[in-house]
Amino acid sequence: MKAYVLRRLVSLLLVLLGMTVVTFVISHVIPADPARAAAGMFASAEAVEAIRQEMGLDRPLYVQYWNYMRSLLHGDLGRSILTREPVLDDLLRRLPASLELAVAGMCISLPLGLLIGVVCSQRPGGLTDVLARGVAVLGVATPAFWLAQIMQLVFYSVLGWFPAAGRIATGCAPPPAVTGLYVVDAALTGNLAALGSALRHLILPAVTVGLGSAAVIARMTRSSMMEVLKQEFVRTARAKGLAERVVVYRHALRNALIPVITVAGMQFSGLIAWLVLVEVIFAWPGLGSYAARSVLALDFPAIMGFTLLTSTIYVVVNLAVDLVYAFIDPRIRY
Amino acid sequence: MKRALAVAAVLLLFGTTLAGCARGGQPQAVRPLVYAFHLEAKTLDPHVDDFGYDRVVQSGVYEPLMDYQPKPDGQWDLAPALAKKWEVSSDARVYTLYLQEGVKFSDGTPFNAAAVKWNFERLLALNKPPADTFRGVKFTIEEVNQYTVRFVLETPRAPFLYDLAWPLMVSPSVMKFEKNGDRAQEWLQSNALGTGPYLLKEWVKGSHITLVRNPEYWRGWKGKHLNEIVLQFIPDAQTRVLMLQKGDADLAAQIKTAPMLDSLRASEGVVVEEVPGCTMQSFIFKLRGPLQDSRVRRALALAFDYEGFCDKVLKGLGRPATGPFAGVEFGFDSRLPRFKQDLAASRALLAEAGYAGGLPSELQLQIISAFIPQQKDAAQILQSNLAGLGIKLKINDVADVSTYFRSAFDPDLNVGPDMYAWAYATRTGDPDRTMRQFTEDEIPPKGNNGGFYRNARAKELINQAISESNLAKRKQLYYELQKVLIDDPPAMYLAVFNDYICRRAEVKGFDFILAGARGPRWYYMYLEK
Repeated sequence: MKAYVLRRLVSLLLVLLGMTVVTFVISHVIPADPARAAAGMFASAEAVEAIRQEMGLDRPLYVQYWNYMRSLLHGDLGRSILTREPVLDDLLRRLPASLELAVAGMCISLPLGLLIGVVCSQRPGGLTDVLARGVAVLGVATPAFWLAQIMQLVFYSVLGWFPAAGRIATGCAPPPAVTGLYVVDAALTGNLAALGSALRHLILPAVTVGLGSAAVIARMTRSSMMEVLKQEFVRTARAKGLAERVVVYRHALRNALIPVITVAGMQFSGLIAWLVLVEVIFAWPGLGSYAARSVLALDFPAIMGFTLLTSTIYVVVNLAVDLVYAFIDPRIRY
Repeated sequence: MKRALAVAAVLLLFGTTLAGCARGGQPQAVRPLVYAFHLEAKTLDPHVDDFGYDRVVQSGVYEPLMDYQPKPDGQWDLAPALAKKWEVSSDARVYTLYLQEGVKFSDGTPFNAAAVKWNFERLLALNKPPADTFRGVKFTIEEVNQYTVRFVLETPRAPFLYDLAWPLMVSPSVMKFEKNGDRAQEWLQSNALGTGPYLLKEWVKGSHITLVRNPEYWRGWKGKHLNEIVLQFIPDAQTRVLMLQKGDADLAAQIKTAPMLDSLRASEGVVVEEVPGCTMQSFIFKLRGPLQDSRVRRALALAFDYEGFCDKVLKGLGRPATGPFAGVEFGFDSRLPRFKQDLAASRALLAEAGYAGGLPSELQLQIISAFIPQQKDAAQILQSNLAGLGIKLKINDVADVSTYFRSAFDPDLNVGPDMYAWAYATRTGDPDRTMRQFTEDEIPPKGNNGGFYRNARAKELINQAISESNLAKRKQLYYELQKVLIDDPPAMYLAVFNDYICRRAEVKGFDFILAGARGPRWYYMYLEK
């Protein structure tokens, strides 16, 4: 087990190294000029050159890469052109917001997806199944930005139940940082006002993020459950006279979970892509909106930092998923 | 137990208004004004950056020497700010400013002639975009006495007062935060020390900036003013619209599409005000091949359907341009002839130039519709207009800014498209800077005259106007310049887009013409009960 984890961590380093090369080369060979972008539309050619030198963009590509990697080993991701702050600080400041949203999204999508999947698998082809499958297909096909706007329109504009933007009301002081997740921190410090405000702000974006992956998880659970329910041990369990609920949830579901967890893990990583759009629409100050603004401004150090961080998250989540298999299925050993 | 938990959760979700986090409960007079803004500021240091999204915050905490103030004719005047009055020598070389006495920066440092001198030294030494206003202008600064400062220029420059009104004054005491000779840039990035009416209360990165009243503000707080200002960063335009409709925002920035504006106009309690913008949208000609002939350029300009573009595409979001000035600049003359589509005249001009059957080769027009979507419509209208004259136009829609600039401003005239879309705007209300782009001094790589336009008369007029201190004479010179640039056009002047103030009805005193350039004058705004 330890050796396996170690091996995976080493391969993580290789993946990251590959990522730096790919991102660096792509971002530097596309015909975009960050110096011009930083200087602004009306800047003189002279001013643009000055900025180019200041940013070191006048040096050969391999020198720039070498310098970047050397700083990276010292934990320095460079300074953002846009915010003028160290990229690492920017990312760490925004990571908790995205994490909060992603976790909340998963908290909605996992139970919902599992429930729908299991219910549908009970009577395939039945009315519930057809309806739920229809909804799931819609859920998979719905673009995140559209769903986000519909959410805003209905639950903010018309019903007025939830706020449209931000993480917490602007007049409300954020809770003191413990985990960085506002909802958790507010609960830990017993700050009810902040807790209420943070929850109200979290719900719409979290539901938007959660619904899409709930649909995918539901589909996966359903087909996996249908496979398992056909197997001998289920018949045996039923024959023993166990209650249907015990058969389904304790015996069948546990065995059907492996592919579901793979999908859920991929969904969690895939959420990052959703976050970019959802965070922009809900003005959520996380990594996604940071990435969106950095890309538009050709803020290369920030884009590199974001790519590195998200690839790390991706690889780590995949590793975690592999480790969870062993807990669910004792036959799996590493 | 379960039911009790559920009730508690619901109360928590919906009951927070009681807990003081929502803005509903506060009376109008003291509640903060919320400005839903599209972009977060990059820096609060006014000598480092002065883009609109920086200036919107900076103008609350810092003040200029003079304020731009719109006149009824749309052009800009100067009003006293940190300078109470000024004198200009008859040769437009010596500018003497008399400063307000007894003004202090928010940390108690006195504002005086030495502070002004230090500010200009810092601005020029940093040489960042805000210093562009003074590019190529040589001058010395003298402290005449504690409250009098004198700028002596090497060569006359009539609009210098307008230039002086641009920079914002920072307290020299910030130098105690200097690190590695950065002149306190790092500290001023997210802190502020000015004389302005508001103080920076907090900057929650990625979320909002809050400004509160400076209790010591030198103009005092009598009358109606805002109590607190919250600039909330809302990148999505539709979200800003919804927040304004719902009353969660008092002002919404950058609402520029007809459907969104219409939906706001139809909302109760929301006011949409249309104000003339100051950005000219143009297609610049590269002066090569047939385009060297001014008759060909005029023929192309006469072929474009200006009214159709403004009525059908812009749908009232813009107005046809009159010559090279957008309309707010000093010396703009609305009586000048406006280009109108006249295909017969266009054909006659082409025939006169020897191109009766159209141009020998296809023309390339470069646009960047990702930034200004209407460019695509304008380009397509021009394409079909020119087809009738036997001229083929190829539209090259470039995706990113830097590729765009590289081919538009290539130092080799023969590289790049024959025409490119270009927007330009004055920021001080004076036309000198924008018109100078049509002189050979600005030919790339030195400047932005990517069309390589040259006209000796135009250059002469620009140079005369810069040193002419008699306003009437100066106006006359610019009148002639506009005529020259219409007869021998460096560009097709397509349209000037309007700007929009989208606000709640209770917001008063928001003055946008200036807001576009220097940030709102927050001190004069208030919320009506």
